[in-house]
Amino acid sequence: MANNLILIGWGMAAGWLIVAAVVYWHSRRKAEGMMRGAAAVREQGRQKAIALIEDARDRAVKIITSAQVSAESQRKEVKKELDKISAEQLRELQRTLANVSEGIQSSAVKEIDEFKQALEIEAVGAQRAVADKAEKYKDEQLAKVDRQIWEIIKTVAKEVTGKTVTPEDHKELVMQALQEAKKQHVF
Amino acid sequence: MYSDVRELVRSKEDVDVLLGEIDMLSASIYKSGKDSFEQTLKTKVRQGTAGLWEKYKDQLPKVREWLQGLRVLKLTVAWKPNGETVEEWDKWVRQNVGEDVILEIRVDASVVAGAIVEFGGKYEDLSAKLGWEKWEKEGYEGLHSLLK
Repeated sequence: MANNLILIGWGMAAGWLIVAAVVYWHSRRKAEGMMRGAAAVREQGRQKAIALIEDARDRAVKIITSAQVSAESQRKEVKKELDKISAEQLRELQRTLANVSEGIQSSAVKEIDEFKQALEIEAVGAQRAVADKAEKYKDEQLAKVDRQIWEIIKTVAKEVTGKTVTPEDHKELVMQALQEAKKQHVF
Repeated sequence: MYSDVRELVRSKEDVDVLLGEIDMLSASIYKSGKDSFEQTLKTKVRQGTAGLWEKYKDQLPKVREWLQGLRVLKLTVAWKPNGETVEEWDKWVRQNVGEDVILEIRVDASVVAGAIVEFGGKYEDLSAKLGWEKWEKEGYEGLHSLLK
């Protein structure tokens, strides 16, 4: 019995192995087929991408070339215009400067004339003022000298008088003053 | 009137000295020893007045009052007079103004000569100052026009 069971077991195991092998083989074939399809698709995509890139590059080159040509012509045009404007503005500036220069010149001449006149007036006035001041100063100084001389004369005269009058004369003059005061009813 | 005291007075200066002596003696009356009245008379008072103060020992306050009541005649003169001259003027004042009048003499060189007299609120310039001031004014104007 046991042997039978072992045999049955072995039989079942073998059957399962066979089934598994069949499934494996079948699956592998399927996978290999799928892998081959995918590679073909990838190759096809790659080729397509290369074509697209090359096309894009050609277009870009064309665009750049065209842009360079256009930029150069436009630069020339702009330069031409700028030159034209500059020349006109320069002429205008020269004209303006000429006018301004004339204006400044005439204005300056006028101002110089006025200044000269004012200076002459001031100079005459200042001269007169200085002369007046000098005259006043002279008078003041003379008056000062007069006063100083007079002070000297006065001092000398008083000293001389004081020394000339003797004590006796002084005494007598005071006595006369007292008598005069009595006459005038001071006491 | 204390005529003997008056004899010692020639001017207000003399009065001030006498008043000083009276004050010293009055303070010494009730003192003894070296501060006594007698000692003060000997050491601090002039010899010429000592006898007089001894006589008036009991009347010192009255003498003081009398001296302070003397009237003053102010005399401003050009120079400082000597004692003899002051005595002469004082004599004239006593005879012509009053015994109770004393002189107060001031010296001011600007008076030049003569005197300025002040008495009892009255003032009289009897000096040569007035004539001198006139001369100064006229003289200065003359000098100024001369120098111009």
